[in-house]
Order: sequence, then C-alpha cells, then structure tokens
Amino acid sequence: MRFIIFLFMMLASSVNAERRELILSSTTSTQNSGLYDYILPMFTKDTGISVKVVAVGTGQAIRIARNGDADALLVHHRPSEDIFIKDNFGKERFDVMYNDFVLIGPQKNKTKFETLSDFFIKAKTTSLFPFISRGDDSGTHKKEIELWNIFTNSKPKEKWYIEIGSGMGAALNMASATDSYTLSDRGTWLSFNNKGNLEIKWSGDDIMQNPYGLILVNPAMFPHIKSKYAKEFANWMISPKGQKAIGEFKVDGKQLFCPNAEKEKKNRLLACPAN
Amino acid sequence: MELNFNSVSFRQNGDTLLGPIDFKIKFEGITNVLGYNGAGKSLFLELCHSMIQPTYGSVYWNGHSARDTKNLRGFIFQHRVTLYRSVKKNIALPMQTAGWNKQLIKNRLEELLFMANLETKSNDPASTLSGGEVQRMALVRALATYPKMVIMDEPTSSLDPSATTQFEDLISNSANSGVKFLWATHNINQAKRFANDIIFISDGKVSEISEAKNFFKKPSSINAQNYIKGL
Amino acid sequence: MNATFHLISSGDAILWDIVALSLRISLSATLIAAFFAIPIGTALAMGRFTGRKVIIMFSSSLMALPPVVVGLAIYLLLSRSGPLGEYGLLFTPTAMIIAQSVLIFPIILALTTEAVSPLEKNYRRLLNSVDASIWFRLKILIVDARFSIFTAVLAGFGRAIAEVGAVIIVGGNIAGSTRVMTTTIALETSKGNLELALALGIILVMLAVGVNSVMHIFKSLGQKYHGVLR
Repeated sequence: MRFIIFLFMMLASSVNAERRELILSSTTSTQNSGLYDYILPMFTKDTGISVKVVAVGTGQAIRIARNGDADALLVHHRPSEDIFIKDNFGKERFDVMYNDFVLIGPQKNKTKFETLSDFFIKAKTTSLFPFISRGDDSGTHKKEIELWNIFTNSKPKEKWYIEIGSGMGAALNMASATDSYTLSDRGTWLSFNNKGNLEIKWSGDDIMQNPYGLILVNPAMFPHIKSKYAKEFANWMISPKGQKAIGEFKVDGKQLFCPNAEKEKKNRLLACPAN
Repeated sequence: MELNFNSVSFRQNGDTLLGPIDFKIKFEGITNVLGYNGAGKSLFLELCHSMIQPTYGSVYWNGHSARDTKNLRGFIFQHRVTLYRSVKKNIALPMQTAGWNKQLIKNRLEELLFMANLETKSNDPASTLSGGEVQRMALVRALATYPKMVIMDEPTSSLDPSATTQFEDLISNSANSGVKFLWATHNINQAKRFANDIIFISDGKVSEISEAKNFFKKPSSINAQNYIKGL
Repeated sequence: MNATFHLISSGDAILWDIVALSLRISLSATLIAAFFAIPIGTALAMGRFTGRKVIIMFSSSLMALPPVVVGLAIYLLLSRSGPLGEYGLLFTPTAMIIAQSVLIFPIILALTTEAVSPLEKNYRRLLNSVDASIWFRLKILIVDARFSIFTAVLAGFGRAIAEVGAVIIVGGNIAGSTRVMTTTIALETSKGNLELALALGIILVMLAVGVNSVMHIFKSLGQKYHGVLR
C-alpha cells in the first residue's frame, strides 16, 4: 500500500509543477549542428526559462506541434510552415535565420560538372554519381526532391539512387562508406565527425539557401500551451542579442547560420559572410 | 464423530472411479481402511477429508456439510509432502492458515517438536529429514490445530520397521488422548493391532464396514477373504 | 579507442548523468512492472479464474510487439491530443518509465508463471489439506519461489535497460532530461561521434554482463535451497 502511494507521488510530481520551461519541436539537423547548445543557455540565463528541445525529422517535428505536444516549432521548410499556419495550428511566424545546403561527394570521384543543374542532369543520364537520399520527409529531404524536380522533372528511381529513411548523420555515414553523393545542411556537415573521404562538391547557389521559421503554437487550439514562454523565446530570438548569438555560433571556426529576423534585415547590422 | 456418505460418487474423464456410496458410520478410536491398490482408498480418504468434492452427492460430518468443517480434520500423505522450508515452518503451516497468533504458534510448536522427537532439527530444511522423521513431522503437523480426526493414506508404507514403530507409538499416544484416526494401510498386522473398526473398499465401493475382530474372523466378501490371506 | 576509455574513467559528468538516468528509469519501470506481474503471474500458475484466458492473450500479444510500437502507442495515449494528454506526461522521464513498464510487464509475467508452476504443483495437495485461502497460497508461492522470481525480474530489467525504440518516442531524447544510454548511442552514432557511442556501449555491455551474472548466482541459489529443477 505504501508503494502505491509512492508510485502516485512519483507520477504526480512530474505532472503539476509550474516550471518555467517550454518545449521546442525542431529538427535533428539543427540540433546536431550544436546551435541550441550554444544559444539556449544564454536565453535561459536572461529569462530563467529553460527550453526542452525535441529534435526529430521535419515531418515528425511538425506533427508533434500539430498534436499540441510542443509550445513552439522551429523548422526549415516554408511550404510546410505555411500550411501549419493556414490550418490554424500556428499563431505567429518569425524569420529567424538561414543557413545553406551543400552537395557532398567522395574525394576520389573527379567527374566534373559546370553547374548545379549540370550535376543533377549528369547524375540521371550517366549513373556516375551514386546518390544517398534521406528519404525521411525532412527539410533536407524536401529540398533534395525539389532540386531533382526543378532540374530533371522527376525523382530518380534507378538503382544508384538509394533512399534510407534516416537522419543526416546516417546518410553521411552511408555516403562515406559507399563513395556516394548526398545533400546535407552545412551545420551537420561541419560538425560531423566521420567525414572520411567526403568533401563539399558544390555550394553557394541561392536555391541552396535554407531559411528557418519559428512558429508559436496556437494557444486557441491547445489551452495548455505555454504561450507566454514561447513568446518570450521568439522575442529573444529576433532581438539584437539573440540574432548576434546566432551569428556568432561557429563550428570549426566557421559561421553556420545567418540571422535574418525582420528587424535585422532592415538594419543589416550583422554581416553574413559568403560561405 | 459420525460420518455420512449420501449417494456419493466421484467421476473423472467419464469414468466413475468411486461410488455410488451410501453409508453412515460412528467412529471410535482407530478405523483402518483396507483394500487392493486401485480400489479407491485414496479417493475415499480425500473425500472424507473434503480435500476433493464428490461429483454427485454429499459428505456430512456430524450432520454438517464436510466442506464447512474441513479444519477439524488433518491429513497425512503416503510420500514426502513438505514445504521447501524448515521443519518448524512446515509444522506451523496449519496454524498459520487457521490464523493463530505468533505466540500461540510458538508454544504449540514446542509441544509438537517434543512429541515428534524433532527438537534438534527444528531449523533444518525439511528436505534433509529421513523418511521416518518426515512422517512424524507430518503427523504432528496434522495434529497441530487439535483436529478431532486425522486421516492418513498409508503413512508407513515406505518406512523401515524401526521408523514404523516410532510412528505407531506416536499414533497410540495421540489416540489415547482422544484423537480419532481414519487410516489406510496394507499392513494387515498393523490393522489387527490397532483397528477398532475396518472399512473395506473394493472396486470403488465400500464393500464392508465392521468391527475389526469380526472382520478378521469372518470377512463378508470373497475379496476381503483373499485380501486377508494375502492373495 | 583511447578517447573512449578516457571518457569512462575520467568520470565525465554528462556521461554518468546519462547512465544515472538510464538506471533510474529502467529500475523504476522494473519495480512497477514486477509489482503487478509477480502476483498476477503467480495467480496464473495457480489455476483457473475468470479472466485468466484474457490476461494470457493480452500479455502474449503485448510481448510480441516491438518496442517502437509500444512507444508509439504510449505516445498516442500521452500526447496532448490523446486521452491522457491533460497530465502533460509526454517527453518526461515518467513517460519513459510508463512505456518501459508496459514493455517488460509480459516478460516478468510469463517468467514468473513459469517459475511458480512446478512449485504450485508440488504444494497443491498439501495446501488443499490445510484449507489454505487463495491469498495464503499466493503469498507462500511467491515467497518460496523468490529466487526464480527474482531471476524473472532481472530478465525484465535487462530488457528495459537495453531498449531504445520505446523511450526515444515518448521521451523525445531531450538533452539533459530524457536522454538515456541507448538513445544517446543512437544519436552520437548518427553524428559520427563514435567514441562517446562506444563508451556508452561498453558500459551497457558491462551492465548486461553484471545482470546476467547475478541471475546465474540466484538461479543456483534457488536450486540449492529448493531443489526445484528449472
């Protein structure tokens, strides 16, 4: 009998404490870049609010927010974000930052291509560029599909195109092990510790920009949402202090994210060097 | 103590193993149950105790349903039947199920251990006891809660003569203090020495109930006659 | 490899925090699951009662589910959009404890029944002859089969501490609050941080070896005291 009471107390204690914390649903690539480990402690120090980050694939991150299991959503796929707002799950959206995607490939594959378009077309027609796709509906995956569609009208179905249904790290591991190409976000690439024989083959085009949106989950849909804390978080992220922190975050001495909140765009106070 | 079997029969898997049986008997002292193997002695004893229930009919003790008066009868099995615990804890079992308090149990244990001559072994695991010791333990266990009757299913079958004698002494002592015994045995000599009455079981039926001296002089069935002669 | 062992021996705080959380969650889940599974498992060994077949069916189906499926089911239950959403349990260690309890309950149940059955057979006639109540039988069977039952509980713990599918879904693998050994191994591997992943893997293996050794000891202790062959 005492044990049942103990059990109950254990469950109850984690239920009700009105802790100053919010749940942020975001993506594995953002988490793995290390950005959150850098800026979140600053936010907590300023406001006393702690941020619990649930990092999953983009699709799952959005789904979690749609279930009301997160108080804010930070992803990088504009079309999905717009649908989220349109369906009334999001109250407000903020531009926060952008980074970019890079084309990764094996050092020993010296096959040349002139433009990004050239790469995708050559990939389809010559099978000289075996490709690993994340295939997991993540932001990176969606961008990759977008590129195939824009340059070659369709997603490849041939044997040299492998969809693994996994995260960026798994894709990079596999690209390294099989001397294949893949599309990665720069953040994960820079902090990836198993680069092996891989290198950046292409980057910098406008189309490879990867903008991030921070959305506050709509408290009208889910009454328990910690909208106050979420709003404070958004305010901090777009504030000069937050934007500066984002820009200052470096991996291997290189800046990863370019802050681009509305106010910041106007002020152009923080330079975003060409990567 | 009066036992009444009212149209009792016991069936299993479609076979009638025992019954129908109708009789009344008033127990005095020690009653031995005799019969060939497979005649149904064990079933009969278990029905008397009410460890098992008849398929048809009812068993009554002193006019009360046997089920309601289980605690007045103890039982001893033929082979070692013990808990994987110490001798002390084994003997305490019926007192625990009867809800006795710790002090009562402790006191009674002392008496019982003395009776069974097992005082030095009270903390030993029951599994380390010899055959004779186990049956003595089983007997005092059956006597623990002052039952009116103890039912025994061939308790000395697997004991050597010396252990058998020790066990029989215990029976005599208990019987002298008023406990009645219903006792199945194959040992005719034993029955001749102890029995007040004999119940003879044959082919799943109570074939005969009579006073011992009459039974051994002149059993009423051929089966019984052969049995006594050892055929 | 050197980096791996250095991580373990230097008592790296994050590493040992993760180990501590793993132990806390899996131990709690084991206690909760055992609390229900031991008496029910013993009751199953004792014979027929209403609902016996339902319990066996439910438990076997549960045992056949892979951990991810159990995790998904608990997620749907605890999600704010789900039936138990109001308690806000998702993405907390409590949710992970619940998920693992559900996961290992059928294991402890089945092994307990298996452990108690031979003893129950052995004791039945004697307990019948002293008119023991159901509760008395339950108690005496659990106590006398305690070594084998403890082995069953250890098996449950071993399963809990090594699984990743259930806890990653209901816990969210949040840094500093719901990250355990298995989910960290998965994460660090995906980041290419093989040293940390390996360090945790080694600790996990040592734990598994430890648990198995204790199981062995208790099995033989049980045989010594009870002579019940398993």
